[in-house]
Amino acid sequence: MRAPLRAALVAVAAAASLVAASSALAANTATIAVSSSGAATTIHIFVPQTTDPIAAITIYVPAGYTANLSQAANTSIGSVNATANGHDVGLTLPLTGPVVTDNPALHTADACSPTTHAAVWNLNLSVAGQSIVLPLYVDPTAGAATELGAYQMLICLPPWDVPVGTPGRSFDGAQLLDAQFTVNNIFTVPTSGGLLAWHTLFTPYTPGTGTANLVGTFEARALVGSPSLSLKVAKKKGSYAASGKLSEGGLPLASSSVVLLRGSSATKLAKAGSATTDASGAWSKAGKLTGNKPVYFKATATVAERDATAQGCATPLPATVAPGGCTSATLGAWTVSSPVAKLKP
Amino acid sequence: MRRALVALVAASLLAVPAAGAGRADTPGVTATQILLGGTGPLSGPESQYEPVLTGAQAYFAYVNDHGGVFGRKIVYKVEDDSYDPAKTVQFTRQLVEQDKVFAIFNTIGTEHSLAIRGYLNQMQVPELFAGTGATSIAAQHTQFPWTIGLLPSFAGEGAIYGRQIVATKPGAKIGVLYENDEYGTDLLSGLKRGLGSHAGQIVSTASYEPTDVTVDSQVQQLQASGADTFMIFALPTQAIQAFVSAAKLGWKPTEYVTSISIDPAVMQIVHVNAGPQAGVGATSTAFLHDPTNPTQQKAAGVLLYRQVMKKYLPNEDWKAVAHLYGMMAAYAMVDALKHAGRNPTRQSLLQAATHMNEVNPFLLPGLKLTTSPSNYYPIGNTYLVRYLHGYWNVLGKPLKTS
Repeated sequence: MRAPLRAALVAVAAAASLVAASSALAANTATIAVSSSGAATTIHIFVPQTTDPIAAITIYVPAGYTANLSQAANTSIGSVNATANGHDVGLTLPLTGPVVTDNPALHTADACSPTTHAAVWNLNLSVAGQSIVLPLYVDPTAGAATELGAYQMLICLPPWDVPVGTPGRSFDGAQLLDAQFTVNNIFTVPTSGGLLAWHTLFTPYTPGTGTANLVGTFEARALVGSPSLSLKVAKKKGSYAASGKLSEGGLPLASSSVVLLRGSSATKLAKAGSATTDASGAWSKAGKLTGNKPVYFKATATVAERDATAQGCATPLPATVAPGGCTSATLGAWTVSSPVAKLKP
Repeated sequence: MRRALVALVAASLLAVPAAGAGRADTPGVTATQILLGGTGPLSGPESQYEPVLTGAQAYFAYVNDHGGVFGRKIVYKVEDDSYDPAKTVQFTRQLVEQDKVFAIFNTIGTEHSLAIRGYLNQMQVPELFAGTGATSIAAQHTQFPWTIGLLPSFAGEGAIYGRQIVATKPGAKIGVLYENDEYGTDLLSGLKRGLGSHAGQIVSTASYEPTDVTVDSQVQQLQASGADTFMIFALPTQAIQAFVSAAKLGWKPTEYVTSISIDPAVMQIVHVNAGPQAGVGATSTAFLHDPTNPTQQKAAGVLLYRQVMKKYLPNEDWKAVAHLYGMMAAYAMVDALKHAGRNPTRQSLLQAATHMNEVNPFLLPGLKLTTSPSNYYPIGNTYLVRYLHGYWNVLGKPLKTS
């Protein structure tokens, strides 16, 4: 475990008895969702405006993932889109830009985490030519942190609620509300089943002080499971009967829409109808057949991010790690397609 | 198109033999280098203008990689004045007296350019292509001949809006939001001139200070006046606030906004804060290419811009038009340096800068940089533009601003 995090957790443990879950802490929450598409991994963080200013976010990549951190400095590895509330100008600001690798040797004295990191990625957030560069520090975990994941990604945010002119205050008093960043060809998703949890610790500032409130650290977690969609098509007297099952992380997915596509070739498919999965993840759709040529079928399903706090936070991290508790669990968005099925005449 | 781009570059600044040693008495010029200085807000609340400086630096880097000017590399030293005129003065003196720059180039801001004008003219140091279109810069050229701005006349821009209102909405009741400095008052006086006998239809004016946190109260005042035409003579932050404030009040006047505030991000932020219809239909003026405008993306200047951005500023926001403005200014400076001769002096540079008749690829088609000893507004024409379908559409033919 890297020194600053270890120090933080020691401090958290020491102060745990003082936590007593103050009412202020109860108001703090955030969400994180993770999704993968091909070689791209997208991490989506949302912090409500009412949550205390966030000082640091530590994202743990679950065991089973592998990360390629060997890119040369100044390599563009993805993009970031964010929204911030510019308190000084009374405007919501859309920010966007590339994610670019930096030379870790240039960041060994960064106040956020003064050590040598395996990788540093700069999130370049720009609007109208004004840029905010947020370094994100990436390392394999060590020590006790290995229980939280295989890698950790740390990002520090400047406070927005300290007086204008305070050194280190965020630009325009910008409060980060929403950030979605995608990195390409970095993470290899494990193929094993089950839902994997990306534990993420949010450490707030004590409001109005610019001082990190370690005992206010709380957790949000992203749940990721490989989706699977099966398709079977049978022919019955001038009609077809398509059916299959939809699952996520090996668990059946109920009440989800499945779109059935059909066409004259495997690549020329159009929507033929849709069905909704039942409690076991099963779905079915029937229709008429015409002509005497082969017909091709494929099923697809798309789900958005979903709240799963009730089940996903059932086993929170110890109070020594996240005194503020587990405040949210979110299942990531994805799209899945079945293999193409061919129905002979 | 790529061939045309190469030809354009070759014709404009390159393929010249190396210069001999510079004159010993010319500060900032050696056999291998020309040192320029400049100031602008690299930090602080107005650092939105930083791309004007980095865009110019990127273009100079591009020129240097293609042989420089008469074999000399251009070094552009920029000091951060945090948009504080007092610091502009301090750093300009430092650039002239300690760094011994050849010329001051691309100073950001009207008040800032005025603050150093007396000193630079006393020292006979060229103050070229300052980022201002203030009347006092151009009109007082006999008193301050070493100072030349670059932006079209603010007053001339205001006059265009006035004439446009008379032509399209002669019964308009006009409310004006303006910055309380020479930039804003020039636009307002130009508007009145353009309105002519209709100037009495300005039913309300409201000014703001650049330090004001919001312009909400000013917008409310203008709405309450019964105005149905809203002139936004404001810098980008306040222009965004004005659009948003009007939308949130449910006020739907005919809107005009100054050309300083038509970076694509302005409307993007307006829409995030006030919905996709806010600002739609607004009128402004433009003299620069917009790299985000789909109708301009194959223009030689936009292709060159993207090429320079990709190589020299790969991690910066190419959609920020301020970068392109900086390149346009740098292109003009290279033109002037080239015409200043193989062994330039400050006097020969001023001579070149006051005798320009140059095509600049970053300007919209049909616009040129022209100066004379009696014309200190290099950009004398501009286009009306209207915000529709997600970008600023160029309307009609060039209109005179000076």
